[in-house]
Amino acid sequence: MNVQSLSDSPETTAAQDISQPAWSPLVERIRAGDQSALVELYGLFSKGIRFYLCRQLGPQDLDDRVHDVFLTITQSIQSGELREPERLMGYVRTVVRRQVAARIDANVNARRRQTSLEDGIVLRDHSPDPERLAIQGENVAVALRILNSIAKRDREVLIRFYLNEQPAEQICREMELTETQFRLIKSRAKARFGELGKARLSRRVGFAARFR
Amino acid sequence: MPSIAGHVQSEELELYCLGGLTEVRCAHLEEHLFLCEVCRDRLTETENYVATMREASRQSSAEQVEKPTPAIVPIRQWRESWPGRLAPILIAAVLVVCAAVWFGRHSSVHAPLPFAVELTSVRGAVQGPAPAGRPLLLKLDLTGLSDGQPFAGEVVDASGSRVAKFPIGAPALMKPLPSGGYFVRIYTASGELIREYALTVE
Repeated sequence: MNVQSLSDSPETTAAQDISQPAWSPLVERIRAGDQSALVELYGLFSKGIRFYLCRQLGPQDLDDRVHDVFLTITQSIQSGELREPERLMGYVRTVVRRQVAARIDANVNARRRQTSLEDGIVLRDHSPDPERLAIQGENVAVALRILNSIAKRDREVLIRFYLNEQPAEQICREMELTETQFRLIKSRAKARFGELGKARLSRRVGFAARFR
Repeated sequence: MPSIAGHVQSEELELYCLGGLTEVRCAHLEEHLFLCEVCRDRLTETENYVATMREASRQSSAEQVEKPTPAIVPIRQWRESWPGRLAPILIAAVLVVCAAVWFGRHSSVHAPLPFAVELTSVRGAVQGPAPAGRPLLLKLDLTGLSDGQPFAGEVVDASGSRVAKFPIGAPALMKPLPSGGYFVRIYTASGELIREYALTVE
């Protein structure tokens, strides 16, 4: 995976490998029944697992799900199911993905059962709240402003990438662009988006300050 | 406590949001996200940005479809044709010519005015030297020659070589001559030399 140092610019830094933490000592301590190791494991993974589950399944019953995952992992470690301690990360990912798949499966089954009992299907509204919707609208307006202000060729690159989801290689080949040009077009648009977003935010803060 | 180093590149996060990563790369990235709060925040930002750009691109594309800009299409076609390609060059050439004409008319540096030279046939009447490098306006004294007889005139240098030729009638405008002695000769229609004037240019 391509990674970069945090201090460097995301767009320019050369790729380097993430140094994986050494998991063996922690796994050994958990196997030995060290309570502090469990606390450490929970502290390390709970936020990440919560983030992943929330993205996939939404905020409902999030604490319970995180707890279930953590329980599965610790039990597997203690029972010796995790044969390669250095692959702890991969194992955590597998457990979380299984949890997500199981949850989706359960939802599908529940919906099927509910259909036979009720007249219609009860669907949750996934649309954002009005405030979020307004912010989204403003963001889209900014992005539209950028798209309308850049060269037609650059706009086509962005539309192909973000809307049509064409791979970078295809865009570069068909539009006769180098990889650097392609990345530059994208990063310029992103930087402009950030600038306009900041300007809008500062105007809003200034406006609010006048009424304090 | 185990710690991590390094962060995921923005490109990688964008591809992850767009579902463009291979399974192996996706696994590495997700494993990193379990531990790295910085990258989780960046992923959220990237997700918002990608969703925004996607929506804006959709709207922009829809606007383009709704407004095919019919006036622009023929212009583009015309531009791509050969008259269209030559048009800018022709326009530039016309502008250059106009500028040259205007400059010629309004320039403070005027072309030298012709110097009038009166050539008389009376002996003793001495015509001063004409200036070199200026056009000459030859006024011939045709006294004594009956109407219609003189037909053509010519200017020859000291060695007798013709320098210029002109019809008889109105004053003849000559191009600037280099310094030297010249003769202006008048001929009849049959080619008979009927008069000769001396002309000095200095």
